[in-house]
Amino acid sequence: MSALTENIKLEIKKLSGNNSDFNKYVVFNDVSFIIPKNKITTLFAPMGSGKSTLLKLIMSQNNLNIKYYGNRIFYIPSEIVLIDGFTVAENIKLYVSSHCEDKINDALKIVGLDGYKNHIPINRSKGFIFRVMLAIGLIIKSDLIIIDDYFNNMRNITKIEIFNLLIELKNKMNLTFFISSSNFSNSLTISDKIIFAKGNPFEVLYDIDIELNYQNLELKLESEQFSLLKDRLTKKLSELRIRDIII
Amino acid sequence: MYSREKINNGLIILLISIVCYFIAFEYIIPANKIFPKLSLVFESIFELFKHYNLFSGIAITSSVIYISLSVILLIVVFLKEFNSYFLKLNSFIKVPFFLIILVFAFWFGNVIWAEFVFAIIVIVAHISYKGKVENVKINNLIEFVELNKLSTKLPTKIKSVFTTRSIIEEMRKTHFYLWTFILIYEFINNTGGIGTILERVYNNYDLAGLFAISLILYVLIYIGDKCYILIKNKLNT
Repeated sequence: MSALTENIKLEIKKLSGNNSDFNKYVVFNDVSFIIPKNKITTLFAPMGSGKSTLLKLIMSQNNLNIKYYGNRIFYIPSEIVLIDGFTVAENIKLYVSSHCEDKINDALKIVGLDGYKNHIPINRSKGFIFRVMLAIGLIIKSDLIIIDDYFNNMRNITKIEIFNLLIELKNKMNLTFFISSSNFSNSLTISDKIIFAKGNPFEVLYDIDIELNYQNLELKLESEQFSLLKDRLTKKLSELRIRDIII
Repeated sequence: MYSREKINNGLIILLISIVCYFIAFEYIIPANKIFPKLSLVFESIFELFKHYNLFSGIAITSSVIYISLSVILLIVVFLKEFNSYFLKLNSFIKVPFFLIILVFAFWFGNVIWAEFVFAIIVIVAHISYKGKVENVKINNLIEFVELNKLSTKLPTKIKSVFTTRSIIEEMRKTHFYLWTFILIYEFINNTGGIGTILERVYNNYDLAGLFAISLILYVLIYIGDKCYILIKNKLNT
């Protein structure tokens, strides 16, 4: 790995053209951005703009314009992909080897589900299900976790707990997260970097590194710096004329 | 803790309701055409067994319901390759069940095996209707597995497990629907089951008898549901 790329986890360079894979037709127009290592980066774009298609394109790893500098990527979709009536452990064992009981226990402990191995996740909250998905990502040793517009319709308190967990995983386990979102407030709360994009055709309009280092999320949200940044980016949003988003 | 508290609250509400019902219809308004006296309902339970042959009625209806459910459950669990076909049958079974009951009445009269055939049709139709919704979920699951390159054999394994599990889950709801349709079937076709007894009770304007049958049906369906949960947990597919 060269010195130039050692802080980069994923790089998209001049991605253009039509894509009709993944049941949706999306036109990309000179899309370029980088996902820095050990950071939480959010791709903020309107609903239906083609965010999911781009994420799936990254996952397919067969596009020459997309370069990944890591071991394994894990993708968490916005839809629930756990099975009705299966326990947490049974669901995990469907996706990973069933002989790694210790790994499952360790991963559940890390994501805050210690003791919930025999619970049925489908009857639980969206936050609980997300933690199970995250555990699968940890078991298969992913170093980049891609989250597709998952945090909409989630209770605020759960959302903050999940965001704190992601920040903790980023710091303690050197993980990189790439989140797609159409929710401005969520993007601002969790991200170290935000990439603003629009759809039809899909193109990147602006990106910003957010350097707000606080001990925890609550302190960050209450800080004056955060309020100033929020005002600044809200103005930027109207300048960029990005519509169909959640403020 | 929470569920025990919930059960206690439910029991208290049930007991209060029974006491209120007892006082209101036993002493305050005993003669009315809306709710019968509680003592009359209990008297009717014994009458049903004595004069309406309720034992044989329960035996016929329960056999039809639970044998047909067991047959389908055995196919779902042990012949998994048929499961995806169950889910595809939806487009073939779109005729309202009431019409099927009437047609069966013309064709077969009160033959008991026809009632079994009808029960099987209801179960398969209900499962396949659910399957239409589940297919979307299966596709999401498969896409998730393929995108994450989890295993090449996994989509087939997941599809099979998912289909089997979702059918077994759905059959619990099917159990309730099946009771309703079989009662209507017996009401019309006079096969000798509980539905036929209901028809006789109705024709005799026996309100207390109707309430007594409702009570017995509630107990039967409750026991059936609990047994189904037990079997489902034992199967552990």
